[in-house]
Amino acid sequence: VTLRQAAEALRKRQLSSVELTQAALTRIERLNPALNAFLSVFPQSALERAARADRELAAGKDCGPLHGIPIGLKDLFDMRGVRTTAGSPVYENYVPAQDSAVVEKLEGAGAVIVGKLNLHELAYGITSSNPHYGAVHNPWILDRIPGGSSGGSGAAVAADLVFAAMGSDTGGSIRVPAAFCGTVGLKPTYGRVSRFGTIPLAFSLDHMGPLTRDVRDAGIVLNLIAGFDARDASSARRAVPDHVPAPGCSIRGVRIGLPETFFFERLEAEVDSAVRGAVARAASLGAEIIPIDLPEIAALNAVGQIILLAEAAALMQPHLENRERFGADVLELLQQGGLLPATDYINAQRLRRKLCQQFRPLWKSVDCLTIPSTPMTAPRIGETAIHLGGAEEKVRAAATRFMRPFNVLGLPAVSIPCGLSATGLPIGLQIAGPAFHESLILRVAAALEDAGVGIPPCPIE
Amino acid sequence: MTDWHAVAQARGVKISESEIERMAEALRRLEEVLQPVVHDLPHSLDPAITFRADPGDTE
Repeated sequence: VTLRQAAEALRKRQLSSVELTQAALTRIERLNPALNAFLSVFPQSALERAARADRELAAGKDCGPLHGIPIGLKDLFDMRGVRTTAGSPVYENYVPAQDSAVVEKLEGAGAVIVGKLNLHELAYGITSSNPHYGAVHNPWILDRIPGGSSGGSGAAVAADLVFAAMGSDTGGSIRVPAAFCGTVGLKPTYGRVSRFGTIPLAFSLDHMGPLTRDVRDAGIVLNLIAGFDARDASSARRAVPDHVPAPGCSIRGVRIGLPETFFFERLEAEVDSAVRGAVARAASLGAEIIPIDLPEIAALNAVGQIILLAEAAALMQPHLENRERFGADVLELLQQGGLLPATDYINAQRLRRKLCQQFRPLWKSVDCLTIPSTPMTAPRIGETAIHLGGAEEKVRAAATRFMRPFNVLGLPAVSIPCGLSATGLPIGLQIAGPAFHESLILRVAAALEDAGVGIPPCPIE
Repeated sequence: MTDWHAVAQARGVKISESEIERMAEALRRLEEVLQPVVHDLPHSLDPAITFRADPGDTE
């Protein structure tokens, strides 16, 4: 059941928000011990909010498609009076006095927040094997990682615990779990969604966005959370269009760029095949597939890593005296960042501007790009390195290789499921587009989804 | 190229030689990509982080 279907059922009085919320809570109670997706669950407040939504809808007060719908929040979105940990002991006693901008908007839209979701420590990694709060498990195969850092969000949506979950993405942290768990994950344009009231990892790379069961649901959530916010210095003063693709939307004539280098190198054969299959489907729908050569992707990745290392280290510097408060992988990255000279950071940010300028002309010849989300399916929990294309590569580097460039460029990108591996793990297709063109990439994604590109529901019970 | 061992020592980073070596290797790889390109950046190129004297003065 998608968010839209649940919303329609609420309006037809086929079920109530209390029933939906109770069903979500029951499923969380049953499956969370195996998944460890939720760090905290709010049964009482969620049921109270659901009952209020039922009363409001009965009285003709309709706040839109999220009204009465159970959702989850990655545990780095501030929620007034509720502990927000970012998966780290650094914030174990942090209880915010006000809501994040995203929570304000979700609550204003009548959403029922049922709990807060586990994540990679400080959102600084892609395994979600959190040393302080336990590893999140992939609902498709429980000994696999769900991806991260929004691993709880990906697992919760894939396992039907909630209709949508909020995540954050600094180098792939929405799209990696979406790809590994077989959900839709949307990283909007930098500045499209306010970062106010979220625990930052890297100020100039952090993006907030939804993970959902299908593409149109992602558009619905984006419609609600997007918009200018003066409290976020990078927030964009842009009008928010309708991001929900129309039923039966067409991609005839859309120019889809297919990079011939980098994004199809060193990846599992099954991933290559599934992504090319989806691209062929786009061509059969009338899209024009244009082979392209992208500028300086390796440099974009290096720039992204330097900026992330430096910004995260600056943020955590006051806490580094207490090394025992950090997991080994995060501590090493923070210490690495602490060694970087300021000149490297500044020059990385200068190079970033140049690379953005170099990338812009691309959008004259294509409307969007289609590439794999990750070069591989979900690795096993505890696996730190994998073999791809005959070479050993760290799991973190491999999983973010095709994603980080879009954080550096600030461009919107969505991951949708496009197939299952022989072992039964989801494969992700990534569609990226020009700044503030979320509507276009969602339209392409929805057309593919409508044409059968996707996977069956996760079988976990 | 930067001597990361010396940087770590100067900063008083309390970690083992093997840990520093592992970090240095990662940082060296990043600098190898960054440094050659930096030489070609025009002096007029600002960092991608922009300060605005008037926060209301956005696009």
